[in-house]
Amino acid sequence: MPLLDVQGLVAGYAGARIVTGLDLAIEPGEVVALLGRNGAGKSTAVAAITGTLPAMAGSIAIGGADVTKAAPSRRFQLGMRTVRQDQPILRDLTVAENLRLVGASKEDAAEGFPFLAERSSQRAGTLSGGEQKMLAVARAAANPGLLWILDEPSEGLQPKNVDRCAQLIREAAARGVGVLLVEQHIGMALNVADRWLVMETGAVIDHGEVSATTHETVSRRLAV
Amino acid sequence: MDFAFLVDQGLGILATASVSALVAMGLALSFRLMGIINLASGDFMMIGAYSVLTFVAIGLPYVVGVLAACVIGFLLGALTERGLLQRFSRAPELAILGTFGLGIVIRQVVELIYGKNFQFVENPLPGSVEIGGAEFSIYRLVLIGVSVVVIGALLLVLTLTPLGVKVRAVAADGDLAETLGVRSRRLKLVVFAVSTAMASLAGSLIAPLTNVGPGMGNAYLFVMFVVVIVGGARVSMVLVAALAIAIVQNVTTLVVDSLVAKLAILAMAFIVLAASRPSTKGAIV
Repeated sequence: MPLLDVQGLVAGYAGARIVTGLDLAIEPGEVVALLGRNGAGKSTAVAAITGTLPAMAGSIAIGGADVTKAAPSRRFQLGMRTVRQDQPILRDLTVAENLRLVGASKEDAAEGFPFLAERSSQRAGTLSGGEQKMLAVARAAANPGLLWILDEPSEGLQPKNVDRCAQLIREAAARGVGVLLVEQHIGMALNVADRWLVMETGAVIDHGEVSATTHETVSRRLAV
Repeated sequence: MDFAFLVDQGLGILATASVSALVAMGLALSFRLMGIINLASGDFMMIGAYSVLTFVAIGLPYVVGVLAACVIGFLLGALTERGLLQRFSRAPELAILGTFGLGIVIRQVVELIYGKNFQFVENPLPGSVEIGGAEFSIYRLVLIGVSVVVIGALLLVLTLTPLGVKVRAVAADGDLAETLGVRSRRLKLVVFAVSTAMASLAGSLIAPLTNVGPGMGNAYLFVMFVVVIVGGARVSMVLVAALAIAIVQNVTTLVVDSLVAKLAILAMAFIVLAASRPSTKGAIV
């Protein structure tokens, strides 16, 4: 049974359909990269999968449990962990409080990114954009659940931190966590993913195994 | 102007500010979490006053009436949130209108049961103590003490407990807090119910000091809203605003009269808003 099973997902804003029929499944320990140009519908798909945007049609299941109409907090209980693209952390809370919300400590987070332990009492909104992303990834890693939905986790990170982020994703997958990775950074995505999907105008138009695909093939597909 | 006079006025200001702060903190919290302004806050105060009136009338101690006022305020707030506000969670303007309508219904029901006439609650702690040469009502001192304890406890809960972290998380970004496992619907219900319990507590505390009638809440509502408008939606600033407005209100009433005091409060709100618009975002404490 897939950890995440999305079938015929339709979602959008103010009646406009941005995602027009998305199908995807993620097995335990599998990393799936969702790629596509700006406006392809990736973030809308993520919002619907995480529950912050109601699905207009289709179904979403986590570990076999239908969560299509469930609140995001219910999806969290079932093991979903989210790193969203914009404002991925609670800016008015301290670093430690951001972690405490998911039952994690600064020591847990420091295993991901050590600087977080030293700055645990700092208000999270005063971290740089990249540091905020690291906090969000560390938050997921500290209480990993079963399924990660990561929307541009490497955005704003320095190369060494992109590598660390990729390492955390691989370690989670090695422990059986399924990962949906939305990325503009194709190199990083293909470095950690088992499969790739390319979205265009709200639906998947191509997919493949990373082991059977070159970086150039995917780049060309994205450029179409 | 002697020292005793200043002490007397200072304690009077604290008494006024503490009642305002109790209600305004609840208003600010529910505004931050739910984006709605509870126009029935004054009527929840009135419910608190009538709770005390009723319990004292049947021979129970005053303190039981105060506790009952808190429980009744909490339960009615929870019912209001579940029955009215959640239905309009995507249309806050309708929810605000709904609270206005609810206030009318509450007043009519109380009027049907108790009548239109003013009623009075006997002061449970008559007498006074001398502070700095001034005679000050024991009951008012207790009122200040209870308010300070409740407000202090609320601030401690907000800043130091897991529940407080969740409340601040939902106030900061409800969607993100939900994806981190915070059940925001349930939390909003609790926060709204606490806010109405605080209004009801305030009403029960002022009952021995005022005329208890179905429309009594309206007189206080004006000051509460100005406190929230001036303080913004940050509860620590609401406390500062409550104190500042109590100073303006009490001093102007003393020097001129209560009508001019209301105008002075409005003028103060206008000046504060013109100088710097208080934030409705940012940290809640």
